[in-house]
Amino acid sequence: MMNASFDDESLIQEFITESQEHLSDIEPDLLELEAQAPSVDQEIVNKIFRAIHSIKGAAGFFGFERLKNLSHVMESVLMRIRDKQLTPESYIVEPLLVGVDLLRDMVEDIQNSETVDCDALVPELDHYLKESTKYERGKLAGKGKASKATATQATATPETTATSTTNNAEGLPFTVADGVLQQYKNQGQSFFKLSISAEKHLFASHRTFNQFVDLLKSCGSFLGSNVTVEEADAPPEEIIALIGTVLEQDLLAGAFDVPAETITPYDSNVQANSASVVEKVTTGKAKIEVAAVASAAVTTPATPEKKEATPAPAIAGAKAAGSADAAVETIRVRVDLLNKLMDFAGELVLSRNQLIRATSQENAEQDKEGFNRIVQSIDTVTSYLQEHIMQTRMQPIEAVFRKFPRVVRDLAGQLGKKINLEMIGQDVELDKTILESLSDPLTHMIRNCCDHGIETPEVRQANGKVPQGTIVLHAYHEGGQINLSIKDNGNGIDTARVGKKAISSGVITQAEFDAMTHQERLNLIFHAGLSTAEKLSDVSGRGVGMDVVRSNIERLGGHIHLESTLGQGSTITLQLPLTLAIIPSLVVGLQHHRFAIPQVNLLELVRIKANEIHQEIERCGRASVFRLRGKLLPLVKLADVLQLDKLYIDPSSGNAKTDRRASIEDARFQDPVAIEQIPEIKRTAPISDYNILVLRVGANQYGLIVDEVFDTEEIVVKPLSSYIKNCKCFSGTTIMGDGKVAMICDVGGIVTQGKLNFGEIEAEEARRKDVEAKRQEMASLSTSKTNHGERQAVILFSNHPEERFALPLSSLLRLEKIEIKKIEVVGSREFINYRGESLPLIRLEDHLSVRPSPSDAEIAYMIVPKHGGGKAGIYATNILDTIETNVVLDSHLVADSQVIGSAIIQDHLTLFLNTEVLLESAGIWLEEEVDADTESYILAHNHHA
Amino acid sequence: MAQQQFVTFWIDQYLFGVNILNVREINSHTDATPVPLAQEAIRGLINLRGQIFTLLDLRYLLGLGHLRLTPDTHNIILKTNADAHNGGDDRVGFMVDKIGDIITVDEEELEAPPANTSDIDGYYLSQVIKLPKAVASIIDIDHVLTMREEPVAV
Repeated sequence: MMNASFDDESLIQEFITESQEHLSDIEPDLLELEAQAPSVDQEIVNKIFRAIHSIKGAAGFFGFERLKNLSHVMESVLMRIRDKQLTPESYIVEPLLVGVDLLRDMVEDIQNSETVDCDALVPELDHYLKESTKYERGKLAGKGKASKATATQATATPETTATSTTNNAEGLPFTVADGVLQQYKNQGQSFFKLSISAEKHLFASHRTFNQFVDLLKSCGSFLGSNVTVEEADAPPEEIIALIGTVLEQDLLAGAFDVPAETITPYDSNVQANSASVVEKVTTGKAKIEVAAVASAAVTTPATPEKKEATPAPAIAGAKAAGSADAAVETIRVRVDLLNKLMDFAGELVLSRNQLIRATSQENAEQDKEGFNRIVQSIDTVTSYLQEHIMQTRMQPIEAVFRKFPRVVRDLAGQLGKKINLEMIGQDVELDKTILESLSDPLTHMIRNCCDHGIETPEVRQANGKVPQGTIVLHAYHEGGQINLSIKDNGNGIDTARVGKKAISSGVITQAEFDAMTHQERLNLIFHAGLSTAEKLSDVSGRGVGMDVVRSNIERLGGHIHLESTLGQGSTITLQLPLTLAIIPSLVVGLQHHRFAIPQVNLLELVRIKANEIHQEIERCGRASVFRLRGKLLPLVKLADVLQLDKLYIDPSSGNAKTDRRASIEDARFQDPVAIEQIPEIKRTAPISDYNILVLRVGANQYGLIVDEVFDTEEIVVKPLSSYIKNCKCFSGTTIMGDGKVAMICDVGGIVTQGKLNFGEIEAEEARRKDVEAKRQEMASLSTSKTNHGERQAVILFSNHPEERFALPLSSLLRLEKIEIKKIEVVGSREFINYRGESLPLIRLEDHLSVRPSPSDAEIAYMIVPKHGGGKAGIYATNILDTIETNVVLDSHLVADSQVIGSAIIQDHLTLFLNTEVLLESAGIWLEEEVDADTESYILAHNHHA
Repeated sequence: MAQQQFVTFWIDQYLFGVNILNVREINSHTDATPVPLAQEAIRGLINLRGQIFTLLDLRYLLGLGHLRLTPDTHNIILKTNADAHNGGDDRVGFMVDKIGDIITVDEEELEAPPANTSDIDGYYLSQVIKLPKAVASIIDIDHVLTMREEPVAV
């Protein structure tokens, strides 16, 4: 069989890597060929031909006979296509694609490549090599998979029969491929034969055959039965089935609710049987069809059918991990990147040498400057190194996307639908590990879209849609995360049906369902064990799926969100971290603990001073909320979520004491006397301040209260010990600068642990958006009528106490309080020292015909507008207010070009300034070109906002 | 005659032992980072040369209450077969009140634990050794590593 010595593992490893690359290139090319048929692009054919040829050559060299034979036949078929003897129509491309799958199977598990069953395919491909078959193809194409297998069985030459791996051992009226048996045997499953009576054992207990098969699958793998797919609704009286399971025989009878005597062990004896030929003369039709099903299962490993047949996803995962161990993984890295890494490594060595020299010098202590330089260079080199090493792990998402055109094409064919797949953002890069674990969930969702989402062309046309459905797969960066959306324009999710199903399977009650929001109802599909497919298909609909998808995504630190409108389609959005290895995070303190919060989840920090807590924090029942710019932010205390004892760290001594402070939130509903009784120090000390981290989980936000906020740090993520994996609140551990261990908080887990219910908040969000949209609509209506006036937030300030000015908030960069005595004067110009920079200060009276500011002030304000990039400040005596108002500007009073208009705000005449012109007239050079059209003042600022 | 070596240690007033082949190292890093919400028997996490180890409170597992830190408190870090337990790269150790001697005994001297292990949880014991002055109970490492979910009621 194998003549190659396996001494040279590395050569074989190289062959595997190369072949895999070839194979993944071939697939899209074949699809392209198919799409172009009947015309043939010689370029593509040659490309495929060369790829197959090099696989064949190498396979022959290593002595992988089957691999060689299959690629040889495929090569021959391609040759005929090249010579225009065949046109690459679907019926030709189909077996070629199956061949690619088989080749991939063989290559991936090269040691067992001889056991892969390609007996069905080789003769079929051979078929196309014969001149005469050219005219019979219509007949062949019409019959689909089953007929292909039939043809295979019929045309099998004595030689192929001799090596056949399809065994038909005693007592089974159908065949199961040995490869399949071997595979399950390797997983430690033993096989049992069930012979039950449909009448007595199924219908008597109100079970259909399909339900029974599902039951079988829940306990192991269903390997075949004498009941064909068509017969499933009316199975024959005697049903014989073969299952593989890890369970004991005596447990099975109870699990399946059938008498014990119906179950007999089935000794597959796989090893011994594999070459032996047992007579195949049995029940004709049924036999062949089941064989076809079995071989289909073998030949289409890309479809998760096979995976679902394994008892549990966990086992599939374990298996994958196991096979990953067997072969050392390799990765291709660009040479220029490698060279850069080498350079950095060199620099690092240099810095280390400097460091050694500096520490060994006698006057090391005095030479602090020198040290700083070395530390700086090590710092730079380390971060460069980190960045570039990370890049070697980053791979374009195309690696995963690439297989979907094929998946969609195959499914569309099977389901009789027309589906167009659009992919956007294939070049978005993701960490290799994330990419790999993304493949299965994505495939599952794509299949769902094809099966449940997109309707058949007839239904679509009846609903007034174009017959071809569209699935859009879109990957893009946003806020340090990767977003992936899968959008289809199919039927959407029928929440009523989901609900009915959920109620009938006891997941929820009718009353619970009635109380649910649309979003919550949609989220029911993430519940384990729910499937709404009206009938089981081999594509999807067994109800193990979306829950696994969700848990997979969440394990990656990602988040999944579902939107759907009945009749219009669904969108699933995944948010994923770029990488799992090193992440920026914010380190926070809670009592004596330290926790790291991933920065991607952090939106902003809010600190509420201790003496303002009771005004700022409000209560809604027992829940605390905070108004963050008009939106209610639910607050949770990390200490509560983690169920820590309430401790109070005394600011003077640093000792921890039991926290006896009554909740100091929301004095409005509390006895002011009780508040007064809390010692002053506890109410006002900085330690009592509320530090609120505004965190986001998917589309939701909440505030997390912690004791202290330290610094942002790049942390190295270490996996959580399996002893503490039950803690949902943590996603990993890390080592801090001082060598101690800190936990990394899982922002999503805190939501679960803290029992935040976001379903309603999402609904509320939607409602608010609605209201906002309506209001804007109204506003725009009124604007178009009066031709001026728009609602916006403005800041009101004064220069001379009796004169008011306004600027839109959106045009401001910062507001700073300044001390008059710190203003420095150079000639006629004034400057203020701000963050190490000298900002020119503009006084309005110098540029406008307005009264000067009073000269006796000690404190003033500086408004730094966005224009000019924060390089100048406008002097203001007092900041009066910020208001949201409908600005209706009146321009006939305006004398200066620095003012665009005036309006009556809070019963005072207020001048609206144009910062551009003002800065220009003050001689501040503007870094960016700005629209100088004063008429579009408000619009321009809206644009900035 | 085959001999085995055991690291002995004290918890409360009792002498215990663990096969030396199961021990990776003994140290006194006692400033473990506690893990909120974890099982009670988990004392916390420590950093040993860049790797994170989980420390178990063996005293608690045995039903003798929580361990209190003293200057004598030490950690026994275990050698585990990475795949054998909980399917992960588990680095784990447990805290003891005081480290004793390393003893060498003939295999024949090992006995099954007595039937009346009264105030400690016999689940975690595999054997006992009769020493001149005391009886050392040998800890069943596999049972410690797979920890019973329920706290022990003694």
